[in-house]
Formats: sequence, structure tokens, C-alpha cells
Amino acid sequence: MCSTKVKICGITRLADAELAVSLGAWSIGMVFYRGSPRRCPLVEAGRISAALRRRVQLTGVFVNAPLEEIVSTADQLQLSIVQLHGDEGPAFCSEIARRTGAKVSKAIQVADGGDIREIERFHVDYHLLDAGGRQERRGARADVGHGAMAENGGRALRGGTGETFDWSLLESRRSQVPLVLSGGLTPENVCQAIALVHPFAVDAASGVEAAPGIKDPQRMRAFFAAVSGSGSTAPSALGAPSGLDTAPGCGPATARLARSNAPAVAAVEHHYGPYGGQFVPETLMPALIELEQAWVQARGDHGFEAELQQLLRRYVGRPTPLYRASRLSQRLRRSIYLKREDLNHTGSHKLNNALGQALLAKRMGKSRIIAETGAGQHGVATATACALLDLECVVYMGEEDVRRQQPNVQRMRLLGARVQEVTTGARTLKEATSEAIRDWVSTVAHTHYVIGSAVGPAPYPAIVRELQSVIGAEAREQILQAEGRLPRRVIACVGGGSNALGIFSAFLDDGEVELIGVEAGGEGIDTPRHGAPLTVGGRPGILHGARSAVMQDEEGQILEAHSISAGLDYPGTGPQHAHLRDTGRARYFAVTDAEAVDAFKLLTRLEGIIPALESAHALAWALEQRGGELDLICLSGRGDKDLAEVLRLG
Amino acid sequence: MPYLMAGFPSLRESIEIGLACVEAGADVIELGVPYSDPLADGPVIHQAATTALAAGISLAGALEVAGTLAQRIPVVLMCYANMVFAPGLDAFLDRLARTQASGLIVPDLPLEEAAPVRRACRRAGIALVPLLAPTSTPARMAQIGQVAEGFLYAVSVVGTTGERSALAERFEQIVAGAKASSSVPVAVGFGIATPEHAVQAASAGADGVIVGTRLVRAAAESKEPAQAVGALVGAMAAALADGA
Repeated sequence: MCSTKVKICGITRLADAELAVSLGAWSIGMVFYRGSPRRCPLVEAGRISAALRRRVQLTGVFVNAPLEEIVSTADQLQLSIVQLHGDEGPAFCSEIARRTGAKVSKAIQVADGGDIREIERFHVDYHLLDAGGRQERRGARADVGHGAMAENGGRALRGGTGETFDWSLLESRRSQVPLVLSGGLTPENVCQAIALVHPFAVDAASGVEAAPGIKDPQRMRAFFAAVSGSGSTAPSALGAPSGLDTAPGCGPATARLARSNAPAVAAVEHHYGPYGGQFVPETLMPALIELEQAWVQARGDHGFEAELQQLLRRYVGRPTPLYRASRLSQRLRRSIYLKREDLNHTGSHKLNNALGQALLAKRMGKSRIIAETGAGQHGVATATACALLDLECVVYMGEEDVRRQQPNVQRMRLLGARVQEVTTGARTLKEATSEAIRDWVSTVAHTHYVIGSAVGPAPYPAIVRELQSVIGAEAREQILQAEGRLPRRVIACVGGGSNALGIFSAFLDDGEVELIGVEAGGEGIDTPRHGAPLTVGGRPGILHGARSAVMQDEEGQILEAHSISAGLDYPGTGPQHAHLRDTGRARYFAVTDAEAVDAFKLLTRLEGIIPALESAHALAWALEQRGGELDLICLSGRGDKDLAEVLRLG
Repeated sequence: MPYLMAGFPSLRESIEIGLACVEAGADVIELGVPYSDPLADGPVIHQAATTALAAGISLAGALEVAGTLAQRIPVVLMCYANMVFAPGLDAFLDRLARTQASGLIVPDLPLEEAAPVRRACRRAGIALVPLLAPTSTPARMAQIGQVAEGFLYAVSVVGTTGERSALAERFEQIVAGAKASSSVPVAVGFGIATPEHAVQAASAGADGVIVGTRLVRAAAESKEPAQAVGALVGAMAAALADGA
């Protein structure tokens, strides 16, 4: 059984919304029906939206409202879900979906089995089943909205009574549409409801209230505890429980103080099991502490969240589509879905992170940005963000990668960035990263280092993962919408591993979903020419500020990696991946250059999608698998940049 | 306190350079271990490490140099964290202790990560020398100063190792901060290239002056590396003796 989500409805205050989100709510509902005692004022709804819309599904509840009113409210508040709780028909629901781009939840009050069948006519994103009879719904729509919503309304209400309906009626339900169970749910009865109904989500309103529209924090906590105690949710594996204090050998009172002065947002983790940490020169430590403070504050700041969210939607082009690769699926005899990060502005997932960090840099008052790049995708993304935000930009790139990725070098220069060629070592990503860090050691006062993957000293791996987690959050919703179930496997390529962590993060608690990371096998992992430290294993090492899986010799010299894909041509990886491997939550494999090129060509011919060589590694692994029924692959970038390299190989 | 890179330009020559430093009046030698990814080093020392590595000099070679020089002068090894952890902390420090070296500097081991290394160093009888940076806050300086052993390495510039035009007032600031935070001697390093810099640092109150890049460059450029480095160290030692 996968985890049961929690929706808290009838929210009228930001404080209640924040508590619900901090307890792990999947969605919070705001009622915009004038007749409801739990109506949420639009101004407050705006504040709630600005603060929380990136972290929770915002549901707006409407009862027989005019189309235009719903569309404008949904647009203004950037609602994720529109819940229609009146007599709206299937056509109206479809039109709402089309006009708003939001998901639609159709609510119905259940009196008998006929209502269960009636709702099956609605091909919407969620079915919400509430208590209350059909006659009441028709007769007293002033009081519908939530069975529970109306109970303390102080009027002669015939609608919801705060009581549950007969859950056994749901035995006749056949629909694949995710079910949200509502109506009289309380901390006391929710366990039983989950056990009987196995809903996608449970919805509580009055059951967690102190007064109509005012939530009771204790009841809320009890409700979440009850849901989680039903064995159906698990605490996230992402946030290390108490950050610094769990770290072996740490003693920085300043860092601890800084954290305790920061707003009450979850601290940023520094370690992942034995991995992670901050192995950098002392010169950089104050900058890392400053960065962490700024990040924690920014995350809690409505303005920052709103600006980032706005840019992701209107500038980057999010949400990116989830595409069922039909010809590929046919060939493999199972459904293959591609999360189309290649359709982001600049052509890869990298902009999600670069834009977030550039905004953060601006907020910190830094005027200059540096970045490292391998394939050039992160360099282009950073140069783009800097052009947009008017920041000076220097990108470090190995000479070999400059050769392999000419189009991206040209793009960066056009965008106004200086591309600094690095000629030491193998002249690829590792050396570029080292040079960027050396630059930062000298310029830290006015420069922010926009690291491009989930690597580096804390807090970088956590910042990058959180900025990329939008990939997984969208993909999980999208696949539930498309298939009504979770994928069997989630597959992503891993160099530093940011696209993989981004998509994995939403599925970590879904124990039945296999997480597969695919590394660069280069010329084979039985040769020294590969980039697969996780697959090969061995002693952990320290590279670029963190302890993780690293390719190294016996004395601890870092070895050169090799991959046809510049973005995976790296001897280290993100520390969280090493931990996910050790705990068995994710598994890692390697595919060779040749297999990746074959997959590159195959996807191009079958689907008309030219993937980045990096993403082609994830595809190549999937192509080799027999069986399984539903794979979700992160197509992290597009392959235009790789054409010359692939053509050169013939 | 001259810095030299073990195995550069060759193993034999690096020993000769060390001995020349002893003759020229050095008090302590800081011996760099060649590393593939030296994040705190500028291009000159990075290149020297690359050359030494290409010649097959890694930890074993560096410890051989350390062992030879330690018979004549206190030796402090400068080694990046991955190499310290790679064989296991105790195994690494056991090997280091057997060379009779006195101390260890790990340039990418800030306070946050240093505790296990410090404990292992104490077991092995090796002083773990911490670094202070101009960016360190007073609170960090105090914490670093408290745990310092042997001496406190005060980094004089915001940047990697390398020659720079030094600023006397910067020395004063960093030395004053370092002195206030600790009871151990304070050595100033990074960016010191001339006898004048050395004297400025000493008159700012530093107990020691570390010269690295200038000497490594001399070793790289000269046909007689030991002689060239010895001459530079001699000039600095003389200037410091006069200035004192």
C-alpha cells in the first residue's frame, strides 16, 4: 500500500496552512464559496499561495461558481487543484481543466451506491467523496462544500453533518481516478477509514478545528500522527533528522547559533549517513555558513518563493510534460514515460537550479557568479540566469569539453558569460570544478558559486536537490494522473546526480517504486575508463568538499573519469546517492558509451526526440530490461549539443 | 619556514632543497604531499604536484623525504584530506609518526571536520596545525585558536597559495586576530614572496613566516634548485634576523 496523502481543508489563515504543510500535508484547501463559514478571504489566500504553493498542492473549493470567476481565481492564486463541490457537470469540469491548467477534483456527496456510480462519469484528476445526502446537496447548496464544513455553521444546515458516510458503499467503486476521502474524518476515525477504503488521500476540515475556519494545532498533529501511524506514510528519508548535531566530529557553535536564529524552517542537512560534510579551506567556511543561512531564510520568504515560482512557470516553461513514449513502449511491451526536462528553456533540467541559486545570490548581494560545466548545460543555464538577473558570469570549462560542446560554448558567450578554459589534468568536469572552487576561494566576498549538481560541501547538495525536486513533484502527480498508479521504476542518469535526486525525491517514501541511477560505463567498468564510482564501489573518498563515492587510487589520488557524455565524465558523485546506494533505497548501474549512443539514436528515430547523451544512459539501461510494466525515465536534457560528437563517431 | 613540494623537481632534488633550507637557517620545513586536486593551491604549486605525481611520487615518496629531513629539522607535512583518510586515519598517522615528523596541516579540513583527525593526531603524537583565514569570524578564530597545536597557520590573503604584493596592514590584522585567539605561536603564510614581506609579517607580530610559491617557482626555474632555494631562504632569514 502506498502512502496515504493528507489534505487539510477549510484553511482560512496562513499560520494554519504553514502548520499543515510542515506536518506533511499533500494539499491544503481554501473555500471560496460565499455561503461557507470557512470562506477564505482572497487577500489571505494570496498570502498563503505566495508562501506555500511550491511546497503543497493548493486546492480552491468552489460551489457552482461562474466559469470566469473560477478561472480568474485559479490564475491569480496559481491553484494546483480546482475542487468543484456543486452541481457542475462533466463538461464544465473539462472546461475548467482546459482553461485553468489546474487539476480538477470533482466532489460528490454520497448517499447510496448510485452516487458512487454517478461520479464515474467525471473524467477528472480526483474524485472527492464526501458525506451528506443527494437531496441535501440539491436542496441546500449553501451548505455543501464539505460535509463537515457546514456542521458548525450556525444555520439550519441540511448538508454535511460532520458525520461519515457508509464506507462500505465504496466496495462497488471501480474507477481508476485517485480517490480523496472526505466527510467527518477525525484523528480518531481516520485509521479505520484508511484501512477500509485505501484512499489516495484523506481530507479533514472540521475534524481538526478549534472553531469554524480555525484549526486546532493539537488536533492537526494528532490527525497526521494517526495517518502516519496507520502504517501508510513514512517520514521523509530526505531531511536528516537534526542536521549538524548528528554530524560526526562537528563542533561549530557558530553554525549552530546561526541556525537557531533562523526562522523555524527545517535545517539543511550536512551529512547523509557517513557521506557529505564540508571539506574545504577555512577561507570558504564563513561563506558556506552565510549561504546556508540565506537559503534557510529564502525558503521561508514568500517573496522569494513567489518570484522563483513565477519564473519557473513563465520563463522556464514549467511544468514540463510527462510523455508516454508510444513507439518505444510498443517495442518494449511496457509503458515508458519520459519526464521531458529537455523541454525546459535552455534545454535541460539545469535551469531549475541555476535560476534558484542566481536569485539567492542576488538576495545575498553578490554581484558575480561563477560556475563549472561539463556538457555545457549548466554553464548555459547559469549564463542565462545571469543575463536575466543582470549578474556578471564566469564559467569554468575543461578544454576537452570546450571542444566536445562547441554549441554550448557559443551560447554562453552570446549570453554574456566569460568561458574560462581549464587546461589542467584531463581538462574535463573535475578540473573545471576545482578551478571554480579556487576562483571562489579568492573572490568569495562578492562572488557566489553556482554549483551545478548535487555535489560539493554542505549545504550545496541539499540546495541543489531541493531546487530540482520540482522534477519529481511534477512527475509523480503527472503519472498518477495518467495511469492512476505509481511507476514500477524511476530511472535517471547520474553524474553528480542532480536530475536523479530531483526525480527520486518525490518517490523516496514510495517503497514499491524502484529507484535506478545509471552511471557512465565509458569503455567498460572492467577498464579504468569509466565514470561509475557508485556502481564499482570501493572505499569512500573526498572530492570537491564532500565525502562520497569517488574513483581514487590506494593512496587517495583522484582518478580521471571517462565518458562520451561530458556531463557524466566525473570521478565523484553526490553524497546522497552514496547513501541511497548503501541503504539499498536506490540501485546503480553503468552503461557504456556505445550503449548510450545506440539509445540516443533509437529514441531519435522512434520518437522524434533527440536526447542528451547523458539522458541516453538512462534510456539505454531501460532498453536492456525485460519485464516490468511501468517505467518513468528522466529525460534530463536535449541532445542538440551532442550532434557533432555522435556524428563524429559515425 | 620554507614550503617545498615532496618529489619536485625530483625525489632526490626535493631532499637536497630541504637540506639547503636547513643550511640557510630555516627553523621548520613545511613539506607538501603531491595531490591530484589541490583546491587551496595556486597554479605554481599545483603544477609542481602534477609533475611529482607524473613521476610516480605520492604518499610513500613524500614520507621518505619527510623521514630524511626530520633527522635535521622539524618537519610539518601538508597533505589534503582525502589522502589522510584514504588508508584510515590511524594507519596514516602511524606512518607519519614513524618518519619523526612533528606536525600535520590539512588545508581542506575546517573545524567542522577536524575532530576525528585531531584525536588520531593526539594518539600518534603529531600536532594538528589548523588554518585561520582573513574571512574567519572572531567566533571561529577563537574556536580554532583553542584547538591549535604546534602553531596556528594564519592565511594572510583571501585566495589560494601564490605570490602577491603583500600589504603590511593586512598582516597586522590577521596576526592580531590569531594571537588573540591562541597561546600557540602564529605563522603567517600565503602570498609571502620577498624578504620585505617576511619582515613586515614579523614586525606585525608573527612568530613565523611561511614561504611557498616563490621557492617552488625557483625550484622549477633553476638548473640548481637546491642552491636557488637555499639562497632565497638565506636572504629571508638574514632579513628577519636584521629586522628583529
